[in-house]
Amino acid sequence: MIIRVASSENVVLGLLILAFAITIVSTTVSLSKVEELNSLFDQITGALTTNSSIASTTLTIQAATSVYNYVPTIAFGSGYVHSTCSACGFDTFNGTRSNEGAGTPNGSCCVGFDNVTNGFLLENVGNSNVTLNMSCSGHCNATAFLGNGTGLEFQFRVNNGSDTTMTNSSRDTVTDTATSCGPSGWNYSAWTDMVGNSSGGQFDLCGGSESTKYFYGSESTKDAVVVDLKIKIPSDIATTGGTKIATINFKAESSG
Amino acid sequence: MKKVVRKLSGSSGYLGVVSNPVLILILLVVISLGLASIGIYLKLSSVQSNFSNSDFNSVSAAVQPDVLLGTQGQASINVLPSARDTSGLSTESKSFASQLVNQTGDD
Repeated sequence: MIIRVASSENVVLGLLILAFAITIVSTTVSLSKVEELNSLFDQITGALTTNSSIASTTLTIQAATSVYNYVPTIAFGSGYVHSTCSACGFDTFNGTRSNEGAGTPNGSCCVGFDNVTNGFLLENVGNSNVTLNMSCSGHCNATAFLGNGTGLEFQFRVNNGSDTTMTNSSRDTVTDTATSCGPSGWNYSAWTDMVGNSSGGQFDLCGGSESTKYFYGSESTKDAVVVDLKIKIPSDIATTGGTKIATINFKAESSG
Repeated sequence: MKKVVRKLSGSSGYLGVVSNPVLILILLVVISLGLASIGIYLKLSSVQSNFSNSDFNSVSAAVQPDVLLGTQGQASINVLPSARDTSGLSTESKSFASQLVNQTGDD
């Protein structure tokens, strides 16, 4: 198309060219804005895909992190070692008393102590998998908890609530049927010396490393764990008497 | 469009300056495109601003990195320092043993 332009129309033609250029630039900028919006929409996985012109979607997911201890207190009471025995030993798993520990029943060696048959029973009552850490404050090692003597023991061990031999597993809201700590089970399932927090005693009971973080499950059939305590008092025990208390702190951590 | 162009036409030309009707048409088209483009830009800017300032900020604030929770258990025991089982002893023996313990402080 050929446009014949009079001399008086040169100014108008210039303005036209300028306006056209501005239009091209502004259109390009607008299109770049559309591209930016595309990248924003890509972040919304639930973006509207139907033909509806207006839609509103609300999704709220609340993560609850909560671990409950059904046995907050383990009181062994007051007592002493029978004069005819080399030692008095008992634990919250077997409950039976013996002169050398749980393996040799001999109740007469422990005089006066309470027969405790329930360890700490913890249940993950939230809806998030967690990492469970344990530490102790107060009279934590055997010497501080019991006194001075030969072969002292103040130990703990951790096992699944689904273990049918656990006498207090019935306190679980829903009886567990599987391991509550990931695929590999709980750490410290064998008797382990208690160490105070001030002496570096930080025990990752389930999922301590990055690869096993948040392994303590929240499903009702695999969310319970039992922490048992074991005591052994030798006959040569030397103690000042008085009640000694060890406070066990359980810390649960979830990803939120 | 022809009526509009005629109305704009005057004795000295369209809009008082331009005598070529084709130029007037092009001018109208370009002005319309420009206004439409500016409108689109303003609207898109408004939409983008709403997304970045409200929705996405609220989503990122709802996710917390870690949650810590603590619960406690307590174990207690009282190991007696000097007591011995004297249930098998006679009353005299118990009394003697008690005196002995008091005198020596031994168990």
